[in-house]
Amino acid sequence: MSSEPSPECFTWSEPSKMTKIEHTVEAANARLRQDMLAPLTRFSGPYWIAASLCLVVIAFAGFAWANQLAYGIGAAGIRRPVYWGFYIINFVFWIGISHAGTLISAILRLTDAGWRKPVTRAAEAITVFALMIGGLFPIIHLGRAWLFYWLIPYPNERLLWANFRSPLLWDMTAIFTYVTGSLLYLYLPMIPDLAMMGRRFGGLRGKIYRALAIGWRGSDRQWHALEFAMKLMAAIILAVAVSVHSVVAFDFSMAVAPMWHSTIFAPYFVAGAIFSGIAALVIALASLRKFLRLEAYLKPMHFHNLSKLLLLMSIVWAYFTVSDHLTAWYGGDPLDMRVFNAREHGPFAFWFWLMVVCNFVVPFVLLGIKKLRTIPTIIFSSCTVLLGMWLERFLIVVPTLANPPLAAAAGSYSPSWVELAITAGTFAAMILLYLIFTRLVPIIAIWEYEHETIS
Amino acid sequence: MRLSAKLAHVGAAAPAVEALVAAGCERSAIEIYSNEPVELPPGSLDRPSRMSLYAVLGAIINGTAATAFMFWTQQDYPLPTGGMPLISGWATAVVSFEMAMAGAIAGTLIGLLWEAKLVWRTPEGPPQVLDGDAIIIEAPVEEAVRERAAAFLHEAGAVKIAWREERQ
Amino acid sequence: MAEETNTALTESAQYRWALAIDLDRCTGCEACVVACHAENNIPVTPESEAAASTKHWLRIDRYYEGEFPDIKMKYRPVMCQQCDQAPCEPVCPVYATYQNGEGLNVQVYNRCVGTRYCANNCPYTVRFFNWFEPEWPEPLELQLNPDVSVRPAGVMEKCTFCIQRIQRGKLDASEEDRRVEDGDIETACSQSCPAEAMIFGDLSDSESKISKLAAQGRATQLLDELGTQPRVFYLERAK
Repeated sequence: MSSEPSPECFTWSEPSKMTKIEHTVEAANARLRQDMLAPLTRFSGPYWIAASLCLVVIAFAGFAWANQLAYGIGAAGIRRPVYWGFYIINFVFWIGISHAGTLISAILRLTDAGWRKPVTRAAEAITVFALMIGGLFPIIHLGRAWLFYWLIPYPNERLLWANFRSPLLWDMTAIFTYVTGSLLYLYLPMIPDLAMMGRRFGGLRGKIYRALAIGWRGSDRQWHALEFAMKLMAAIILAVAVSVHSVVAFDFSMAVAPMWHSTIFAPYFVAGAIFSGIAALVIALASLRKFLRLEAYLKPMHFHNLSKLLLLMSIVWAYFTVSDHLTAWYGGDPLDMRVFNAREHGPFAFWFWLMVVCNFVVPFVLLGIKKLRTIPTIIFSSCTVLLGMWLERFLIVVPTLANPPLAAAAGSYSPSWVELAITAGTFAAMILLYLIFTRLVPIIAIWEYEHETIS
Repeated sequence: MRLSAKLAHVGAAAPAVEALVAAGCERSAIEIYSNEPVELPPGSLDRPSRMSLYAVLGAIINGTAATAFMFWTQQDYPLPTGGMPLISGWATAVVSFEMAMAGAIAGTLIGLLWEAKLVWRTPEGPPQVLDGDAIIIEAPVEEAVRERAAAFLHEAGAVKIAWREERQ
Repeated sequence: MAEETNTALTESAQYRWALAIDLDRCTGCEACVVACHAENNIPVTPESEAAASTKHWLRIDRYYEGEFPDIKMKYRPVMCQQCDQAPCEPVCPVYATYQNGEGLNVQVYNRCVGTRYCANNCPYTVRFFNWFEPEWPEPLELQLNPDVSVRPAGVMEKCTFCIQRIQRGKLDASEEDRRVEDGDIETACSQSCPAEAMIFGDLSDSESKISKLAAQGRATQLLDELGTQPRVFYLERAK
């Protein structure tokens, strides 16, 4: 029995008759496929230069980490009493960015917002890559990183076990679930496109595509199952995403340190994550639009819609920040106030007010005033938001640790070249992963986009 | 005989299904192959799905398994909690929740692979669909009603119709 | 046979170690700090690191009150408070720190992977981390205490109430078939204080010096409003 029916087996009885509209739609779809599949085989000079630069930065970061592993984590700038520094800040930052895909794909899928179609795969890719990068940091920041597997409850002969009541264990399970879910969420809508690419490419590349397409035929049964699975996954991934960043927030709020022990941290962090996720998505889309020449697909409408979401999240972020700080200030607990004053008036004042400007003032002005809302200003606001959100993580971690309850133990923190190198390496890794991704699969889900334009 | 008809556009799918049913085809045996999901009105080609059941089952199974795992292992090992209770339900509830969600994800994936007949039960289908723009409806048709089915399909908007022997 | 002789060890759950520090006697001389360094193999901090953080399991916090020339200096030796409700314990993901039955908060060096969550959660900031491999310039490595391990890089450490001395005292007492008596065990700091301002003992022994001091009106505890139930008592005249 042959594996696939070939057209020759069929006896075709009627010549084709297509109307004018169908011709236009077919032409548009052919154009879409051409535009989407072109980058898969296009390796230009600037591409190689960008990829090489990223590789250099990543190699340097690897060297820095090797240095840290060899000499001890003192190679980083953290010292008593600031026991957590750049690594934890980066960890929270990247997990926050990973909420890009969750918001766009899950929430917009559940509310059936059609404009999300060209944006979903790019967003889901950000999620997966940000999670992979963010998930590295709990290992990088360990004092004895080679023993990280002790956090996993595996049977052993020494009566050792992991402590499930520690928020770090919650982190591990939450991020594991989120990575699995996000990978699946990225992979499932790729299956139809993978099947299409499996037919266009030969050799090893084609074999891998066909294998990954796991027998997709495009039957209505399969489409129905896939769409239902996507709906279910959207709901599940939404629940997981909220819980993941709440668990990351619990790392701080479960501690008794002043200004950390705040009940608002879980929703604060989730809102901040969605906020930074949208900003990262805008920047990613703007880059894709420019470098892959997708102006026909990523229209100003998409950027304007995303900017409205960004503005909304900026206001929500400001609301949470004011709530948290007002309560601390009004209560006047002396331990809290020492941290509060350090942030608002003390050594961290410059970064604090810069964060406020980046996260609230700039987006509010540039995106709130309609005349000022253009694609360049939207991109600029997103950049400032990313900087501001990184600063927010910094201002949560460091001032509290630098001002412990016993004032005699107060200290300070300045990052070393190791931390800076590793931080730069993660940004380079994100860009490199994205560069590779755009050459492997079409960045806009072809079947979703076709579906949208026709109906 | 197995009929394979190429349709002009997605809108022709629903009338084509009705045409085949009117010609005497069994509704559940009709398959539509396309490069994008085809919207059909309810009642046309309903495919009842049990995926939400699988997801919920997966969540319950994995959630209780994780909770039981924590419960039993924390009791079995002589854990040095130093005064803290051996098992703190509220503190470990997050782990149970995350594992339940992981179970739901697994359930959804298994449900998808099963119902879409992916990986191991993949049926054959016209491969040109995957190249794009082709929408093909296939169904087993009795020899007797062959002409009627073809006629109805042409009325419904089919562009090409082909026949082949039904495979065993 | 074992059950008959090791009465002291089997009754160890009844010991409740505590430390009392008489702030009215403390002169801030830091002899206890040096003794702690010598006893517990605390590495020498290199000059480049000294500005950022020195490792003193027992540190003297100095506070100034008033303006010159009416300045009052106050000294408070701070070490691990061995809290009964220690905030550092629930957050360690590998159970590297926990309360043993005698009220000591023990740190298991071998198990520590270095997440440093415990140090962040300690309100007294008494935990210290080995950022690098420990170093002793020659010939200081000759004076290392063989009863105490040398901690590698990446491991958390803190005051242990000289648990090696406690173990020694318990072993000696069990050989003589008796419980540890008041004065048998002295921590390095209490032994070295010239003003005899530090008293170590067993709270479960109602006749011990520490029990009497803890019951005094002068006894206070550090940050007790946080509910950590520390085992260190500070004796000072009420202001």
